[in-house]
Amino acid sequence: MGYRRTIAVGNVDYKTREVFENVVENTHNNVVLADSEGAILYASPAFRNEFDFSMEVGVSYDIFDMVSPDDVGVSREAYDRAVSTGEKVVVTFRVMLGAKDFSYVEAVISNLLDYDSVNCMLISFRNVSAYKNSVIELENYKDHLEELVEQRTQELRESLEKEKLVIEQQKQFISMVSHEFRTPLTIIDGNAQIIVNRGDKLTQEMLQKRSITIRKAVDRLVGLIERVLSDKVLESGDLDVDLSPCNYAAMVRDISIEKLSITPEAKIRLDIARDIPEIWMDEKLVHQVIVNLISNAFKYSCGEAEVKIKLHLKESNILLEVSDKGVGIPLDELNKIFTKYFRASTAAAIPGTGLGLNLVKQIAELHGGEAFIDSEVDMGTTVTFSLPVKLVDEES
Amino acid sequence: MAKIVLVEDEVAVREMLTDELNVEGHEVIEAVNGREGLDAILEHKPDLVISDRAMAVMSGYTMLEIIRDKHKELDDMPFMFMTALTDPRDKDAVEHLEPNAYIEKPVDFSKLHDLVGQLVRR
Repeated sequence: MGYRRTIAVGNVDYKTREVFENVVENTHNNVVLADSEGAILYASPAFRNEFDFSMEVGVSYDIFDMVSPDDVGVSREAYDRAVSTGEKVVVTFRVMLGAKDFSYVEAVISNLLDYDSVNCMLISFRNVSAYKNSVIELENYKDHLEELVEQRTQELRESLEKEKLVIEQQKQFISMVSHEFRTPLTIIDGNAQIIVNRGDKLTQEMLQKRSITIRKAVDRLVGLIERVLSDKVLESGDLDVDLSPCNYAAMVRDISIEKLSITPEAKIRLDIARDIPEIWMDEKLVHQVIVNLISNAFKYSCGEAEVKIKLHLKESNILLEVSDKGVGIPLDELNKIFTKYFRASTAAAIPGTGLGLNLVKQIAELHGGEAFIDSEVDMGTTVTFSLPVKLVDEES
Repeated sequence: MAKIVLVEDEVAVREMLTDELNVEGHEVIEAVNGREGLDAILEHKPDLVISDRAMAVMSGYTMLEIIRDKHKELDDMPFMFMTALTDPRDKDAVEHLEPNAYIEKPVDFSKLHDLVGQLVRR
């Protein structure tokens, strides 16, 4: 009760002071009266409770004592402004609770210095921590959202780039396939024209040579059509593996002979194990694999092709290995070689669709098998087509 | 009759065209891509160039681009593109390079000889 004497309420009649005391003492508002310097003249019970503040007789307290050090400047500036301009000033600052914690407080500073009956500064406080924390949380969330949006946009951008790449690849593919089809047709048609126009002047040897050229071109075209069609069928997922008992060894031999008849300058060395059984496989698809691998071996050989074909059993698999001594594939491109449309840099000068090896791999996998490749630039390449052995006497 | 530089990467096509042009009495200098073609053109100053479009190393397109760009003295040299790319947009892509003629693949020889005759006459 001693601080009643420090209230600078001036010359006021008892009744007003009593009203004031009753009202303020019982209000739940945090109210502080201070002088123009900031020295506390009076603090309401609610304030004393809220901010754990007790006043001892004879000790002077400064309202800025409770302000967090970082905010003293701001709050003092606001207080001085209220004192000098007479305007009501609102300021938000942090109040320390203990060593580390703080609360956000909003202070409304009213200048009642000129009021005779009051003659002090009236500061009303409101704890706005909840509000402030919400604002901070919103800010953080906004930042987080912005980050998320940026991330998603980046993901979309990358997706778009990939799409564009696919479309570009397809465009190039169509253009290249068109070229690929027309080239053997040009060869066939041109040689046919020569035979028609000058056939009577050509020697038997020249006629034979031209006929073989035509047959090679036809073979090339057939291979191309099959590759493109198979690829389309596989892509659409419509392909059903049609298993039947096959004489794998005979297939390899027959196709090798066929290929040599069209490419007489090439050599094939066959190394077929004696114990190759009849196995379940899709004859049409495996036929394509053999044709593809031999065509590749011929195509990517420089000059006259020397190809080795090995067919043998290894554990529970049957392995077809086709090797050439051709241009080879750079080591860092080997892992992409089975990718659709991919062509090794060493193949740049040789026409091709980029479909062949991808088909070989897909056909292997359709049978539950695998495809491998081993290669060295300028030394040659070996492609291995491995199928699990499904013996004909077993149930498929 | 004429000195022709033939630029074509497919060996079977190349030898067939060379044979056909030789029979008509022309001298044919062969090149397997745009780079070789460029060298051959600069060395032999032919009466006509017949070139494929899409080739590895350097395409016929790039070759003509370089000629039009860096060898103004060859502005009068007749240039024929063989194209297996019959997309009309493809023709538009080369228009600005002002080739003198196009012939589509498969090549019809009577058409080829007509065009050669026309282009070489100047």
